[in-house]
Amino acid sequence: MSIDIDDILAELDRDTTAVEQNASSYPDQSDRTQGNDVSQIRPADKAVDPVAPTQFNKIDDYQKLITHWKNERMSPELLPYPHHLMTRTLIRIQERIELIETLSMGYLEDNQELTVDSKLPLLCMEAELERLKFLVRSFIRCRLSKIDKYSIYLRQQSELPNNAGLSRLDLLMSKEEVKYHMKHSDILLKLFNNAVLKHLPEELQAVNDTEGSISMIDEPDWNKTVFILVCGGVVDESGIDSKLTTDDDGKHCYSVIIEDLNEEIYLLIGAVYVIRYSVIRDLMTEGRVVLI
Amino acid sequence: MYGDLANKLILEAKRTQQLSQAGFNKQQLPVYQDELVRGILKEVGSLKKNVDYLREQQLTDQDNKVAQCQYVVAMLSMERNKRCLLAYQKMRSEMLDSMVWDNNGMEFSSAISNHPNLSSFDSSVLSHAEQEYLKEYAQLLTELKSGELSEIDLTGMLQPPSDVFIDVRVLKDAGQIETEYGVFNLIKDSQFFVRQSDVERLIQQGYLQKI
Repeated sequence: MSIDIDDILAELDRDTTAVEQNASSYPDQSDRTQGNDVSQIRPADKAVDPVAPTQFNKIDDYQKLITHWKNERMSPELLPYPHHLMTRTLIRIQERIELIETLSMGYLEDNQELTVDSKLPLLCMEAELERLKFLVRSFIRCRLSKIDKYSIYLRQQSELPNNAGLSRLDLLMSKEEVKYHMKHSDILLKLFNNAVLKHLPEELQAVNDTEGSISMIDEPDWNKTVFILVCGGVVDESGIDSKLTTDDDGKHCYSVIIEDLNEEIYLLIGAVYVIRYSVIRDLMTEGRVVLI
Repeated sequence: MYGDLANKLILEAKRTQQLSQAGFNKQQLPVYQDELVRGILKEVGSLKKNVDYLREQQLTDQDNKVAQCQYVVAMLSMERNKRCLLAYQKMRSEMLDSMVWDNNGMEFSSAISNHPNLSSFDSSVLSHAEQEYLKEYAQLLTELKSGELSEIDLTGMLQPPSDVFIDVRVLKDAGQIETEYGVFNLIKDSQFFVRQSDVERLIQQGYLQKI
C-alpha cells in the first residue's frame, strides 16, 4: 500500500499546483458530500470583494504567494504584507480543512470499504494542504524574525513626522504582526530597563541612541547582494511596460544605475543577476524582478 | 582596569552562543552572571563620578589636555560597558525567544511554574527580570498562535513536508496517543507508520524520530 501512495505522491511533487487541480478533478465528490456546506460558505464570501477566494484564480494566487515568500526570505528588509492575498489563502485553507473533514466523515458513515483507491484523493488533498500550510508558516515566521530584528528601526520609522502615526505599519504588517511587534518590543524594553538601564546614569538610558560611537539601531542592510531573476511582464493600461528599454543588440531590458560606481547596467528579461539589493528594490516592489 | 569585567561578560555570551549553535544546551541557558553584571554597573557608577568631577574641572581650566583626554576615555568606557551589558541581555533574550518557539508557547511556561522539578528546564538560571520576560513572551506567542493563524500552527515544522504519512521510531516511552487511524501505544524502540501532522509535536519534543 505504501509503495503505491509514494509513487503517486512523487508524481504530484513534480507538479507544484496540484492542490488546485485536486479541487477541479474531483468536483462530483465534493459536491455530493458537501453540497450544503458550500452553499453556506459562498454567500458570506461574496460580500467582501477583494478577499473573496472565488473571484481570483487559485493557481495564480498560489504562484503569487510563492513569489512573496521567496522575496521575503531573500530580501534584507521587511516587505509589505500582501493583505488580500493572505486573507484569500487563509479562507481557502479553512475551506479545504472543512472539505477534508466532511469527506473523511462521509466515508466513515457510508461504511464503505476503505480501499486505497477511495482514499487516494483524500490523501493527495491532505498532502497539498500540508504543503500550503508550510508555505504560509514559513512566510510568517520569516516575517516575524525580521520584525524582531528591526524592531526599534520599525518603531522609529512609524514615528517619523511624515508618516501619519501607525498607518504605515498597518500597510507593512498584518494586524496580528503589528500587535506582536508592539507587545514584543514593549516586554523586551522592560527587560532591558529592569536588568540594565535603570541602574545606569540618566544620559546612558536610551536604547535608540545614534549620537554615540556606534548607532544602536539595527537597520536593514540595503547593500546586501541578492540573486534576481528579471521576469518583466508588468504592463500599464496602454499595454506597454513603460520602464522597458532596449539595449544595443535590440533586446528588451531594464536599465538601472549603480550609484557607487556611477554606472548604468542593463538587466535583460529572463536573465539571472547577482546585484546589490538597493539597486533593484524598486523593480522588485513593482514585480518586474523576483529574488531567487 | 576599566572594561575588563565587561569583556568577561562578552566572552561568556560568546561561549553560550557557540554552545547553542553547536547543538549542545538547546534547552538550557547558563546561569545569569548576576555578580559580573553588578560589578560592571558599579564600575559605571564610579566612572560617572569621575566624569562629573572632570567636567567641573574643565569649566575652570579650559586648556588642560590631560583632563580632556581623561574625560573622553571615561565617557567611552561607560558607553562600552553599556553596550556589553545590553548585548549580553539581548543574546539571552533571543535564546529565551527561541526556546519558547521550540516549546510551543504557553505549554512551556506553565510547565515551568507547575512542575519545576519535572521539566528539563531550570528557571533558577534566569534573573528575576528574565523570568518575567519569559512568561510574557510565552503569553504573547500563545495569543499569536490562537488568533487568525490558528490553522497554520506557527510553531510547526520549518522543513517542507514530503509525505503525509511517515515512519517514526519511538525514542522514549510516551504512553498512548489516539489518532483517526487508531490508537498507538508508544513503547521505546518500536516503529510506527503514522500521519506526520499527528505526531509532529512529539518529534519536536524528542519522543519520536523520523526514519
